[in-house]
Amino acid sequence: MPTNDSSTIKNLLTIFVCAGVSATINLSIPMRPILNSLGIFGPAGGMILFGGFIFVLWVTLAHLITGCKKLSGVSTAILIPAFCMLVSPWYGVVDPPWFGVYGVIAFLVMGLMIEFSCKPKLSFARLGIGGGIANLSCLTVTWLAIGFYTHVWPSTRFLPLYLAIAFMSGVVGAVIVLVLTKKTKICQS
Amino acid sequence: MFGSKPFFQVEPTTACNLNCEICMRSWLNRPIGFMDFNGFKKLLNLNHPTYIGFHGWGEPLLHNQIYDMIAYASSRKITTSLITNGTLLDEKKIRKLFSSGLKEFAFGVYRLKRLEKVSEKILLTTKLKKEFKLKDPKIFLDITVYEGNVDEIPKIVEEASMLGVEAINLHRLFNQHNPSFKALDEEKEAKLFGEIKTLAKKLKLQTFLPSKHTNPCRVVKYGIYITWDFKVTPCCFLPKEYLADALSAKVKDIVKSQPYKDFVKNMGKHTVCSKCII
Repeated sequence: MPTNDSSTIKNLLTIFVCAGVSATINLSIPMRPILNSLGIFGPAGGMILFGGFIFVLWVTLAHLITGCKKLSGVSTAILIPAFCMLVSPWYGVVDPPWFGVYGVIAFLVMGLMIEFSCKPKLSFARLGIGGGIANLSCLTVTWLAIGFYTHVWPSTRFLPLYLAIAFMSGVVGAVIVLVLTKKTKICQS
Repeated sequence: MFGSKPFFQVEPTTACNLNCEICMRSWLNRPIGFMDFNGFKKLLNLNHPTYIGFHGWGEPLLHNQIYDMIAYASSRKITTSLITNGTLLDEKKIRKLFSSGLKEFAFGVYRLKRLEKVSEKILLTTKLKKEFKLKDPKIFLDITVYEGNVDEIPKIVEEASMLGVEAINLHRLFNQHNPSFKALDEEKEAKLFGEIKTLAKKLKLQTFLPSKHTNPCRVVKYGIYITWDFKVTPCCFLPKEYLADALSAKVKDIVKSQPYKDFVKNMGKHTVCSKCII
């Protein structure tokens, strides 16, 4: 049996590794050509399509591996924009200089949604819908922040489609994790 | 070849706060106006260019919605570039330009003394880009080359390097209205470009030099010009060569039209194109 200390270190390591992997994937995927070829325009086009795989998946994974420890999902989620902002400003916006706060808020909401979807017990439907809502809420905060500061809003024509894609992306991301954790039995709960 | 126009040169305004002696703007005798932002959005929704250059016969930073225009184009995954004389820049404007998603940010210069007037602003731009750890925009110096400034070009390039500029773009002067500003002859140009290439390599500056002028030219082959009042013309040197209204027809259809085909066919005899060296 691991001691409490080693379990805490293991949990912290899990949170940092998952957030690090998520941020690395986010920074290394060539979004522009992919989104261009699919005709998905921004803002936050990458989050619409890949949010579930790049973000929701890793936040959910960290939360489940740590045995659904309180705030483990939130911590993983807010570390993602923090890591990304070590490399470049959030969505490249430097006016206002504190724009990155919106990245943290968006991911905080995502983390909360994922943690909420794991209670009181895990199920495919609950976690899947939770993942979908998590990606959608993160996207909505991001859209509002970008729209307010750069006056660029998503196309109203494609808005329902973008929302549907973002939701599905979140669902798939969360469900993949549940399948993986159940199969590999790495989930502590 | 002429059916695809990936490059849109968009003129945000014809207003300018300077009156450079080499510029054709005052000779063109065109009304001063500002491109409507909603019209600009319509233009992009109607067409899907891959690259927009915000540079026409005016200073783009005088347009109070230039940041929104760039941000809108960037959100449509369009590569954007802007050329400014740099005089109106301050930290707030630089931050707004960085935040807009601008990919290429060029300072247009043609004399060393002009560069010295904006060198503090260029330095501030490169410093802020480093400070914010931004990958974009790439910061250029866009240098107009002609007989009158040929001796100053190497010094301008050295200065560019000291200011932290990442790339230099040299282009030939073409002022059909004022013959006192002469372009370099082929021999002088080849010598200068060779010298600049070596110097830029030493200074680790990316260099873009104009290719040999052809007829039809590369501008017409790959680009189209949209004036502030949404008139489609073949290039910036022909702002009155009206082809169609940019908000009523797609550019891909305009370039298939008979007037455009006739224009391309007769470029060799055109009063402006026949003299152009760009």
